[in-house]
Amino acid sequence: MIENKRLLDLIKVSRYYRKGKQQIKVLDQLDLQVNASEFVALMGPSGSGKTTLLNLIGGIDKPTSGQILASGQDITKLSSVKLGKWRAKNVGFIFQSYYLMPHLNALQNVELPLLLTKFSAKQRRQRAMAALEVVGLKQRVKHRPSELSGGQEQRVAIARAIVGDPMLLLADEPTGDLDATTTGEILSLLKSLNEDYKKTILMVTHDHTAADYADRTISLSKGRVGQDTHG
Amino acid sequence: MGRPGFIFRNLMRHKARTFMTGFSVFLAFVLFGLLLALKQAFSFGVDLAGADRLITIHKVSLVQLLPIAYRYPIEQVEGVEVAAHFTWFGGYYREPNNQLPVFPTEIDSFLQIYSEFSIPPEQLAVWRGNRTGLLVGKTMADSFSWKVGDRISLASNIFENINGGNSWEFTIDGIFRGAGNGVDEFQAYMHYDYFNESRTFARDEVGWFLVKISDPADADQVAKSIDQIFANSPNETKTTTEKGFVQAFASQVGNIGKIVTFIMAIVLFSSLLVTGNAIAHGVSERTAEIAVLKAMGYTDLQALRLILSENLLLTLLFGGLGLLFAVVLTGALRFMLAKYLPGLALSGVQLLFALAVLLALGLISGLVPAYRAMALDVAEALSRR
Repeated sequence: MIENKRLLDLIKVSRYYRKGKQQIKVLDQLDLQVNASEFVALMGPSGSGKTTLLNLIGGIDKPTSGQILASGQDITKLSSVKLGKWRAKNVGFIFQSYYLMPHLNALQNVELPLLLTKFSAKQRRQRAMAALEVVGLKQRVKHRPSELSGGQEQRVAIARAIVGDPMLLLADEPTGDLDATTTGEILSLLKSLNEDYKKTILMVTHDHTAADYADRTISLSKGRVGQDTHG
Repeated sequence: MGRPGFIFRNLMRHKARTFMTGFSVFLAFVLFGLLLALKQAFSFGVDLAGADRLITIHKVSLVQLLPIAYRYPIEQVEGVEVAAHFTWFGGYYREPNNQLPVFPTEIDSFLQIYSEFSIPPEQLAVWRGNRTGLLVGKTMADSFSWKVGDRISLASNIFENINGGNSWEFTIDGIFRGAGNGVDEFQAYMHYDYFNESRTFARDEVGWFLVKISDPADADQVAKSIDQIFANSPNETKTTTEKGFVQAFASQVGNIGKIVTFIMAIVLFSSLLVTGNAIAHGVSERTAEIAVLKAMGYTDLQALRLILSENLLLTLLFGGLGLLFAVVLTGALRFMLAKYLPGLALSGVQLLFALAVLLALGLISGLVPAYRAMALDVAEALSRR
């Protein structure tokens, strides 16, 4: 039953940019529905609007028009402050370049989103430790990013994304900087987060092998949903 | 790690840059503190000068002496409570370059006028009864390691002693302190009778009168009345408020206050540029990190506060240390330069002012980079990578 619950509903979402006098339509009247606990791979050629779509769903960009309903709430209508709070509670971002703070160790990096909560220092530490345990890095909590491999850095970034227990994980080319073996490990980890922890995952990728880990693949074309393949 | 810890770690990520920027703030506030103390020194006495005190000097100049007999007519003027007289002794200790402000005076009227002097009662009693006794300020006593009971000899570069030479023998009977900050403790007072009877010329003459009046509002009227008494006499007088007199005296060395203020403004502006530039550079380097923080849920205002907090921590920490060092340095210089700049000091009010300036500097220098962090477009910042 949970699997069928609608989490995201994008209705006629458009995102245009201006470049000089020219208007570029990155997304054009796009409709998309995502259920809770789905693992969705977003594919498409460069410039097809995959990252833009991820940014709009994550509330770090605003559509030119259209509605984005998250659990029935239209996030395009939220103020900047409310949108920030919504993101902190509901969304975890995973980036290709990890974006860890180089001067903080793994534990401190994972604790960062919790600084916005009312958890005590002890609670923050316990939750960060738990998140690092989930990604298999409990033994590396005191290591700084420069002392970790690329795969380990991405695991820390994933721990940072899940530490606040968000319903939605948005991953933008999470394996783009990794070798084949590590790519497999990271994708298995994401799959496990989806299956074991029921996280809804939207993952932008160019890699068909990576898309195979998802249970639904959406291909964007000319700013709209082209193909939508389940299974 | 809490938010303060995060702010501190952000500040310490480039230790060399932080310390160099911080050192510039430190130096700026050492200099700022010293300049504040210097400004205070040049206006020394103005704030202290009583509004209820007038000073009567010879109309021609302060150097010309007045008859001691003027005291009684002055005290008869309506509104006058008491008049004390003082004379510039022109004293020095051992070497002519050890010049000391020493004043012959009459003890009772002196004590009535200078209520801001604190003298131990037993020392006062001894001084009162000893014609050759000397009352010395604490700073002067410390400068020469004088103690109560010491016998010293002071020479004058103006007067000669009837016993030959230009030296007078004294016993240090008392050491006074200022009841409040700003009282010049580098001065000494001797009994006028002892001085007057032993000098070879200008007997029964004094340098000036200090007049205590009952109502400061009547100062102009009382001053006029005093000068009218001696109008058309061989020694006409000029009476003014003590504050006006001290201000006029201070202005003889130029408008030091304005010069010092100008230098302080340049120092602070330079510090503002250095700090602002370093913070702006740091924020520019961290564009993607700030974007990620905002993606995590940091609001625009929280991003602004984060950068401002880092800047405030930097300026308050290093600027505060600079001010502390300036206080210590001023204390040492006050002792070393007591002869030349007796008012060199940093008062509590000045320190509060300096802290307010420090706070303002921290806020202003961090404003532009903090605003940039606040206005940062997350999607655009991340796409740049």
